[in-house]
Amino acid sequence: MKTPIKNILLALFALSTIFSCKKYLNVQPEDKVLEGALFSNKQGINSALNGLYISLTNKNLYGENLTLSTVDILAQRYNIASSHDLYKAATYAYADKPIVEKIDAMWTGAYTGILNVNEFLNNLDKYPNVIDGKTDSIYRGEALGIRAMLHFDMLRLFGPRYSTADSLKASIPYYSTTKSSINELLPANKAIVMVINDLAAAEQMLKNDPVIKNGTMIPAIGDPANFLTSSRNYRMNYYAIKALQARVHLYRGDKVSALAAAKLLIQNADKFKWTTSNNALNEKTDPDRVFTTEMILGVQNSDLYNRYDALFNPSLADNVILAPLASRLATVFETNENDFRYNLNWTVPSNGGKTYRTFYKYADVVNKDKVNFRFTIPLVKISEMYYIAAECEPDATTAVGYLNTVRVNRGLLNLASTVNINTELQKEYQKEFFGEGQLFYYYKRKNITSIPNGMATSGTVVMGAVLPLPLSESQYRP
Amino acid sequence: MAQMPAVTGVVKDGKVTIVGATITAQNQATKAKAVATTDKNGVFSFFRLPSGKYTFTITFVGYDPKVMVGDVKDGGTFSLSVVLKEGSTTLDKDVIITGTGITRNKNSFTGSTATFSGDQLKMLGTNNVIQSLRTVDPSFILFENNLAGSNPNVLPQIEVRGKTSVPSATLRDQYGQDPNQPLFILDGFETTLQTVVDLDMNRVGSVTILKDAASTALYGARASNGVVVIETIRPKPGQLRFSYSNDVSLEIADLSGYNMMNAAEKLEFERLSGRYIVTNGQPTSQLYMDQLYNDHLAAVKRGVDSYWLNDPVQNGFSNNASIFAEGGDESLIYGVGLNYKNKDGALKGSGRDSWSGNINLTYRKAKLNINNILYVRGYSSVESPYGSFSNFVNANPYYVKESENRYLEDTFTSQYIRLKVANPLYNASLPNYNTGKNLEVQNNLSVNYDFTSDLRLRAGLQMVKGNTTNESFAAPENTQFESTPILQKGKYVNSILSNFSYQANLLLTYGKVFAQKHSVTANARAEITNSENSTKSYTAVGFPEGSTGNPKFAYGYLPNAAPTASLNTYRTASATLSANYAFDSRYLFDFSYRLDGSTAFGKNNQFSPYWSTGIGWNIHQESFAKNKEWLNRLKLFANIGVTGNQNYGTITSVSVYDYNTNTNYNQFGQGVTLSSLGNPDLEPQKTVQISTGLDFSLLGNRLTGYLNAYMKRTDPLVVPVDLPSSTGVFNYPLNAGNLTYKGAEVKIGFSPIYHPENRVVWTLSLTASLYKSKYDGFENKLASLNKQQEINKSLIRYFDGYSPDDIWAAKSLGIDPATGREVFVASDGQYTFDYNTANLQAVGNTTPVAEGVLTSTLVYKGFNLGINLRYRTGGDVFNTALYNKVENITYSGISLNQDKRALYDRWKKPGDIALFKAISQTQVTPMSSRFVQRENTLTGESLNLGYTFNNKNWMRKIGMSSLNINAVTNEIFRISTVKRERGIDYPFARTVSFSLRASF
Repeated sequence: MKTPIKNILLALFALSTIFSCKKYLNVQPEDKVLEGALFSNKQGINSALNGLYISLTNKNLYGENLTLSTVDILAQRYNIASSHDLYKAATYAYADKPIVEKIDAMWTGAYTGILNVNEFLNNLDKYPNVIDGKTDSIYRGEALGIRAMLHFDMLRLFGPRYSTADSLKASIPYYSTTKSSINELLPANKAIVMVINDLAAAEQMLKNDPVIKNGTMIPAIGDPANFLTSSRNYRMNYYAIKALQARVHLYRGDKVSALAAAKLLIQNADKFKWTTSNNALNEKTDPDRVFTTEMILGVQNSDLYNRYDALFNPSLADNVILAPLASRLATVFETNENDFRYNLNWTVPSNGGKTYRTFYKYADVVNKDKVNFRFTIPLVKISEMYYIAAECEPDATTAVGYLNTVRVNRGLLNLASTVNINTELQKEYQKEFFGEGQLFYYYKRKNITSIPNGMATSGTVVMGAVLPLPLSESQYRP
Repeated sequence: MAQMPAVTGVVKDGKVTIVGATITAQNQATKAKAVATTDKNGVFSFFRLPSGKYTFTITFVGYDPKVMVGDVKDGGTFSLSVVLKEGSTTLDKDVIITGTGITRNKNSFTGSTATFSGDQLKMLGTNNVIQSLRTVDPSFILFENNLAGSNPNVLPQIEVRGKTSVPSATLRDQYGQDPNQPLFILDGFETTLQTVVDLDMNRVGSVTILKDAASTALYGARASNGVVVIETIRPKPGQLRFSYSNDVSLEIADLSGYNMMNAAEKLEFERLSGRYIVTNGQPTSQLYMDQLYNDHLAAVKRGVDSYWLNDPVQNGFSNNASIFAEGGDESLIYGVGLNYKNKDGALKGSGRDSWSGNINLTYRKAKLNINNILYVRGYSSVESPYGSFSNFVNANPYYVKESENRYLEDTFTSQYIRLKVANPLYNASLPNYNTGKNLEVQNNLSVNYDFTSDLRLRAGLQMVKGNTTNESFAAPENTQFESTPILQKGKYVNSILSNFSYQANLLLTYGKVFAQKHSVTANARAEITNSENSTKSYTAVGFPEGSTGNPKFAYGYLPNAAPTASLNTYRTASATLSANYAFDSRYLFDFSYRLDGSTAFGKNNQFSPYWSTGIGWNIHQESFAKNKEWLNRLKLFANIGVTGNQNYGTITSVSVYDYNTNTNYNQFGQGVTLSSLGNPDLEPQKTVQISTGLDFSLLGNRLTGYLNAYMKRTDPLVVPVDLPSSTGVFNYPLNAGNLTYKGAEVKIGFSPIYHPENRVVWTLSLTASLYKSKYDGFENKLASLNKQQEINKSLIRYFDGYSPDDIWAAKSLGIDPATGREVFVASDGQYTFDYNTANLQAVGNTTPVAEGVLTSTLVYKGFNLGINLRYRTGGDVFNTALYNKVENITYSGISLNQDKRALYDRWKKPGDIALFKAISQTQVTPMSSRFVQRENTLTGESLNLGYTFNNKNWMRKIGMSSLNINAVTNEIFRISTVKRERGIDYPFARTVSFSLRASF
């Protein structure tokens, strides 16, 4: 009797301790989403992909700092009071608080986004066959595009002035995989090659993007958005990749490639329809102020109207609101009320007691059902492709023609083919990209050192074109 | 047939008869056995016993067995009177209880442990077990919590033989536990510090501290910080008996450390520091300031000198009543206990009521023994509506005390910034509350089965289910809501925590002595544990004035906030083997091996092995020592082993995603982003311990004690580190560096008077603990952590070659007599006025050179008198009172009361040799060695006097068998070489208590 009992017990011991343990210890927490659970089904992968887009709308990135506020302030867009939170940005005092924290937040936000992209790509490899090959290819393409765009914007902020001999100087690290160790700072000319390679890979992945056949496919109001066949202009679509290529090539000084990419977009311009004078001039309550129909790529920031209230709302005090000096603004738009961008988005407010025009581009509309364009911040629009084409096109007449296409669609008159194309382009960049951050990059790319001082009615200031690496990064660098 | 002889007898314990004792009579010739048990009068009888020589064995649970021999003759009546001696079951001096079911024989075990009885601890203080343990064991270090003082609702910070992980707030595990806290075991199962603190001391049978690898290896991955094993008193069989205890105590706030100015001093200080000189140069403003000064001066002259400190304090009265009933016979033993403790703290309105009940049942039959203990316990805690004590310490003495107005004064500073001085008494008069309520049910079941006398199987199962609700409310009128929008004034927070856990284990024990010389014990044990903790909370804001905090009247939830919820499930599975071998009780050998698996380890290292081995030598058992009268016991031992510390987050091995906050979505819906990147190769923290010791008892047990030395090295440490921001990885758990402790503990007791037989003993004893600690192997991996520490103005840094207890600050030469500015020493030895974080260095260490307790205990018949004085010598402290209340007084801080030294000891004019900067300087003073002081203290930790009545006539009349009364004071005095403020948010308290224990 004794021995069998003992043996059974010993066997139980062995069983309980060796075989069942691994399974027993494998606990799935309910209040967190573990990688394995997330990437084991399509919904999970969709959430992870959408998470990449949502992190782009973070306040530190395209949700505010890279579009609405900090980067535009670096381009002297606004008249910043000395007691304003962002005064140190307007004066390029990069070592002072709070701009030093903003710089850190932009840098950290971008690279956290990049980590998420790398983990997303890594996990698509690690958990294969959950989604079909076609979807997989498009998702990867989108992710690669996001990685390239984030790196490129960090390069434009923290890298040297590229159009000079400085392009060989150290710029940013490039992360193509998840790493817990630091990557070296690449020379700017090497970093840009990484961006171009990622964009080329993304282009390849996205060659079957439904946008090519069907356009942006904005769903009817009330219809749910599909990850492949809806609102492609809110996704890193095939054309967004091409548009970014145009932007990157031009930044690199490769006008031939930039022109080729821009021309592809211009050929497909019917997919990104110009806004109408009806929308810009006649629609009083619910205009599409950001021209989402022209948008090749944009983000939807559910926090946008809170950001508007904090930055541009006319009820803000004079020393808090972001608004240009009236005369500077008038100069930019050449006091031309016909300009859609001026007429629609710059008005002297009826409330708040302001005597100057304030910025309405990101104000909410009355009808909250306008989900097709509410909450939108554009990142690339078709107009920029015409600008790039105009800048790269060797033939002066054709170049001015590209520019005039945009002007006509902004309610302006055609320019003569004899105008100085660069002067006119600079004016256009100043008008077109309010609240989109592109002007700072334009000045930097064109190697313009002194720019009009936003805090005085006349005169210029020297632009601080290169942001310093934040301490959270530089302390690890020799 | 001759009449069989009858054998009768009575079994007693002293004067009380024992019910249910077993008497086995064995005929020496025939080996035939007969068994009888005692009846309710303690009488047993064998009616028919064949004549012959018999061996009578009398056994009873809780008593030492007794063997008697008798010659039973035909026709005669044989009668036995047996007096059983109570065995030392409440505290078996020869057995080390490890809490795992595996018991170790103290004489043959090679590890370092210490065991104390419940009575011993109770005598030192009636507060809780933890407070008393620190007095008796030098390795059990309790840290002073300068913020929380003697707040009864704040848990103490404890370490046994130093730290085994980097002390970082982000490293706290899901329970919010201190990662360096020892493991607590109550009646064989893991428990929380909170349960131990609330445990009724009258129920404590014994407490064992397991210190080194050999003694803790049985706990494997949880063992590195030491293990504290608590056993409650097991009920004893017999007639129904009651015991009743009542402890009353008084907590008196110790305000002697606060060195605040009086009204005249304060006003003079304000004048000197330039509060009344306007900086904008406007004559009208200066006029206003002059008027303000004159108003204050008038108040001072009127005799206004408010001492705000005594308003929120009270003499906190507490009462602990507990009753225990026990009884039963050999096969069924029962014990039922009830306890209620009502404790008021030293701050008005703060307190903690705790209660518990337990039912302990044991059933024995033949080889089976089943024990079940059911505990039901709960507490309700209340924080003082007076809020932080610092509000009162810092209140200005020239204001009249009143509670009517929200503000004591509404004026301007010299920079013409509006200054509203909040009235702490007004805030205290509002219906604020902060309460917690808890209920927990626990059941421990264990089953023993003895296959043979050598082989035993034991199975245990524990389940715990608990619930805690915390509610807090800040009234809308509170001055903290001064600038809050009207619809968000007032705040109510509700959080519900619930916990559920189970543990099951199976243990096989084998023990045998071969050839009378080879003693072998072996154990095999398997265990699984599961614990689930969940929290849910929400916040409501916007209360109407006059609201008493019912959330129904809230305007809404906190804007843009979601309810919080978390649920953690944590599991472990382990298998243990342990063996002990003793040769002739002289040469000893121990070995333990444990394989531990848990959800906490890295995915690629799910199981982790732990082991220990030790050797020992009982010198007193050697033939050359055996007959030496002066040598009673002398044991030398040494051991080595590896244990773990898994007190860190559970899912550090896997990447975790989280949904974007509730305000972020787009037309495609919500999205997830990475919230933490997993490190699948993370190695658990492992601690190698080498420990050696000498236990001695000499000169007829007059000189007793031990010497222990240890080396404890945790390698690798797990440290959450922010990597370079371009990696995007933050708070990444990394294996980095190691931490080494080297230390020694001594306990020596000598009895100048030693007559235990007459119960007259006087013993003097000394304990001491010394240790040194050092980090190594970090290289530059923790640069980000050090940077954070610098930004957070922390005194702690992580550098190779330095101790976790080092104080990092700028080295200061003091105040330049010519300018009144501070002179620093740069890292290259140059003198400079400039503060530079690059020049920070370790300027002190908080570890004392030695810390321990001096004790004198006198036992004279029923009297006992104990004096326990704690000494602490050589540790440095950063004097925050000097830093915050003598210097670093900002413009708005000038309106708060400050330390007297801010007026008297600061530099005033060129040539002054002063300790502190010029009085007019309100700019920030960096942390420097000027504020680091060497502290030596002597504390009256515990003084007690007691008397035990036994078997007095008057007692018998009321059916009482024993009565013990005891008076204790704790922390009655404290002498320190450093004058500093102790108790920032809650004052420290002195305790006086009386306790009474009666048995019926």
